[in-house]
Amino acid sequence: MRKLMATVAFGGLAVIMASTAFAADSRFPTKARTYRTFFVRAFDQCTPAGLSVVSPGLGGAFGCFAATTTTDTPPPGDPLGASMSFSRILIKRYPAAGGQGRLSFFGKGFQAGQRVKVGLTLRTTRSGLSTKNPIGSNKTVTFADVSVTCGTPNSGCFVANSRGAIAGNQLLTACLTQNGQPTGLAAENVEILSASLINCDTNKTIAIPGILN
Amino acid sequence: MSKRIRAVVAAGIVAALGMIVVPSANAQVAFPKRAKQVKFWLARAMDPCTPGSLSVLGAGVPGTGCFQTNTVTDGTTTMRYGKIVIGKNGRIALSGAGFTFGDVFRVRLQLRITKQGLTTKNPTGSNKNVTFADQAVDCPPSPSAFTVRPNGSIATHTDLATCLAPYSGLAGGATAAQPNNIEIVDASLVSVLTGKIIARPGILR
Repeated sequence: MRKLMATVAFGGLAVIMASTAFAADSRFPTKARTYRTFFVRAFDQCTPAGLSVVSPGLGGAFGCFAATTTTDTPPPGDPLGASMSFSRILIKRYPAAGGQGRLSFFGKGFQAGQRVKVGLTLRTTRSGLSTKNPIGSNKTVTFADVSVTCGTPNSGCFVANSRGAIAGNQLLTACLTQNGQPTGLAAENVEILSASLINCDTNKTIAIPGILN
Repeated sequence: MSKRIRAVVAAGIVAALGMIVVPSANAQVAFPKRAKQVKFWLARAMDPCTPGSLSVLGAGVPGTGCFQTNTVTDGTTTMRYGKIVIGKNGRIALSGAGFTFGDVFRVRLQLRITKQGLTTKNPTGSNKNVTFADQAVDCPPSPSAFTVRPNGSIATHTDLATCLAPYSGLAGGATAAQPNNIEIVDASLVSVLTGKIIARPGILR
């Protein structure tokens, strides 16, 4: 009898533990309205190699002289490089019912005629889909990450006016289309893994999200 | 005469090339004048997909994909919505709802910080711009964490200097006129209980 009770108790415990472990609850949030950020200048990644900083508050931290070799160098270092006094992006669900998404870019301090584009890496998960291999219906599917560049109207780029300002916007669906991607990747749970501002003429990164502090 | 003109033109070209080359080696790239805030609503984090044999039917979606999984990401935490705001003063605020009372979270950031006007050794220098190795930090740092209220909501904040300790000097510039250029390479919301990413910046239909 004791053995039987122990077995039942152990079995019950195992069932409870298993159900807890597999109680997946990664449903989509009910709202995620905007991705809004200013951009700061992008610098090359640093792998410290001997340079030490003796300024106070840094505890002798190691670093590298700020470099822009793999990132965009503004003029006069590179005549095709981009100057920038500030810029920001806003990506939001659009229209109100969602499904398309809209990206707005605004910036100042560029060279007149400067061409820039916004780079995004997205991971989209959609619900209620039908599948084959295996056959299924009403399934939730995550798609492979896609990297796209958004901009309009000049060959996929935003263009600075004569005063060095840029104000442009593009539907996320249109951006996906111009990158050869299906528009359905703009809907439902869209993770923005990375965002950057890219110089269309050098193809180097000018800036990424951040703050000046 | 034409030889002299040619020589002058050649000298001009050499000088111009010199002007192009020298600044790229020595000039310090100016920071933007303004970058006030980063405001991310959070989408649910899912495992990455390397498409196999699964075909997806339907218009407007890729033909291949993966069933949603949360093996390397968190699949147990409930979340109705969440938002991360990082302000100019280094204040990191987290708000959200639909969590479970007692859940504990941290905001995980990967930062690339460039600081201006520094003095250096090896080589010795002054008034230099220095980029530091990328910093992966949890905010607030362990053992602290953001705790969900009894009603399942969260509204709390910490600051960048606390997260970056012992290098708190990386959080802010020496003066207001000499701010740090803080690139946010990556941001996510992490469950302390599972150690996995719950959510990332994104938008939702």
